[in-house]
Amino acid sequence: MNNPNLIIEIVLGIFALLGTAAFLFTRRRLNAQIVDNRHHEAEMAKKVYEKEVLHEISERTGYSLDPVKIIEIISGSVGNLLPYSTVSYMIAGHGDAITFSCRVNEPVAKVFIRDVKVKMLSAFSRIMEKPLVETDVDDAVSGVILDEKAAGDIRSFFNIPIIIAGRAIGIINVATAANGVVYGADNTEVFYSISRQAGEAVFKLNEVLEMEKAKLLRAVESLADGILMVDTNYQLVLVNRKLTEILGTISKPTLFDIINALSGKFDLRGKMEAAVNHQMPTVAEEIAIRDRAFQILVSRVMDRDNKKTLGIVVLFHDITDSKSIEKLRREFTAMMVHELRSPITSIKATVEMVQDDMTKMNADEIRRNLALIDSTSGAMLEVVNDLLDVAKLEAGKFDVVCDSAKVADPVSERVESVRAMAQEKNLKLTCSIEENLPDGYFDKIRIKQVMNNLLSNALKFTDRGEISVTIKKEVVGGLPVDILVSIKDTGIGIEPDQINGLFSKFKQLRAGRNNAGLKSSGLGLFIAKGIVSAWGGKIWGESQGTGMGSVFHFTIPIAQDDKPRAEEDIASVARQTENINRPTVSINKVAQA
Amino acid sequence: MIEGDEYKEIIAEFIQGQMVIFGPTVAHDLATRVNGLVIDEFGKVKELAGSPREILLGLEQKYVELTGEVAHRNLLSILREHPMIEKEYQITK
Repeated sequence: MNNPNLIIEIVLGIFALLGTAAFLFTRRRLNAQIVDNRHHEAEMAKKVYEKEVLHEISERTGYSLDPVKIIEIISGSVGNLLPYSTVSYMIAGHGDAITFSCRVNEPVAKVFIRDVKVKMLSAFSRIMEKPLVETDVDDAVSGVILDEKAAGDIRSFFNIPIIIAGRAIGIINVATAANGVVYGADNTEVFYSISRQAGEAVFKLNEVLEMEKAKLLRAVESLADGILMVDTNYQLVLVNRKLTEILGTISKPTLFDIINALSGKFDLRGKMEAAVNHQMPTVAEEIAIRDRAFQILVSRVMDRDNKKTLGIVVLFHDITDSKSIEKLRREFTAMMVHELRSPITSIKATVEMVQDDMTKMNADEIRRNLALIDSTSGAMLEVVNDLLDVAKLEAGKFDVVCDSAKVADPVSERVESVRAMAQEKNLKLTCSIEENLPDGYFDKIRIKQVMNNLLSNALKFTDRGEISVTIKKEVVGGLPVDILVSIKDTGIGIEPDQINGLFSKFKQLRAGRNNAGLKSSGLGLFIAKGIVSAWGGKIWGESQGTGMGSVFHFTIPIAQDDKPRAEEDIASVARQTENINRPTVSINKVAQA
Repeated sequence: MIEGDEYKEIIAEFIQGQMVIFGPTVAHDLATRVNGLVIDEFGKVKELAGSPREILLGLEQKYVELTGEVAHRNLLSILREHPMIEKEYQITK
């Protein structure tokens, strides 16, 4: 080691070795980095691709939840990532039917496709956990023309099961005839990931759809109308409970049951066919089913673009009540015409008689005839005034001017005004007024109209006995809340279930009450209700039944410092008075002047 | 049957079933990623290095990651023929 040249050479050699090692190390690091980068890029490309396919799937599933479309999208995207000869899918249809579709990308022999089908069938059978038979498979092959001279052996393949909500709905197969192409876990993972995510997305969408469907079904179930829907093959899609009630069928009827229930009344099948075939959008018809009237509407259900018929919906709308109101309205009009024509005829006849016999009549006879004309025209005027009042009430223009006043004064004045008539019928008439009554808040003129009506009804419908009027405080929880006016008679009475109808516009006092032979518009109680409601009171009637007499009550709010009570006071009183056991009639709010 | 052999049988049947479902290469590749599992090209188990139960669970995990419940159901149907191991599997799960 004393040779300096040798030492220098050794040192230089060590440096050279170190340099080479450093160079090699750096190059390896660079190579590794390049590989890393490439791997990273490939990973990124995979992720981007995965996202793109998922985006496309979500876009399309936005319009359809059709699994076939999803499978087609996934299988159609294979070529972007892998070389392949065929891409195929197999889908389970109704029953045991299976659809096999194969798209050929490179020429292959027929046996290649059959082999693919057999492999898919084995896989599908294992997933579905049931044997599947090749004869149940419906084939469709598209793409490049098959070539018997081309490769017949599958060199590599992989299957992607499509699972939605834990259920296998299909399977995709990618196969190659090329040597050197191997489908391993690394280059196929992206497809499994896409199919899994697509399955989850469809499952979630289906869940939302099911929830919405359930809401819709609940809405249909709670409809007051009967409804049924059939598809274009006349298969029943839905029937709500109301329809089974209307038709009196079993709870889950078939279309045949429904057609049968309507037999002889409505040709359901014919009308549905007419709606579809003759392009008639709706058919409306009125029929009677089990003592009720129904309007039946048959309509086509169209798709979103209004191009394709999806089915037919049939609606059974109960029109019994509206028909009954319409009948009442017609009867009312006829009665009003009669009520007005009769006195006019009478007046005309009297006038003609006076004109003809003027010279022969003495002054008394002329006076008697003029008095008859006066009373008859007065009755007419009453009817006309009632009609005008009703019109005003309904238009919200009925004037009710409220003020603080003593209730006893107008009430007892009205009682005295009919005393002579009561005596004429030998009826006892009493008026009892509680002492120390507070002032009421009401319309002093309109209360007379209410009293006139109630007293005249009592007089009309009472032939013996008495009519008693009482005025007293109505006390709730020890506190006076209202002034209660009651008119009780021993007259013909009315059945309890008919009493509320007396306050309705069209419902007249029926049978026995009309037989009293008294003419009126029959609108008095309706008008009285409007007046009493306007000052915040209530009006109602009570009777134990025909021949048992009746009593009519109305209330007047207690005046507070000559001012109307605050809304909350009225509400509070209303709450308290709810506890009083009495029948109520609905109150129409009337505009005050 | 010795428990290890029974596990080998179950694992082989499981892999071969997945080979039918997913294709041989994909199912084989995934099986080879399981620690302690050595198989031949047909999916037959050559060696189980470690707890056979852990290997089976690891293998199931690999396949479940691919398509979810299909592999799990497949394994359950195999385990039905092996009640003792099925019991062990249920407890572990």
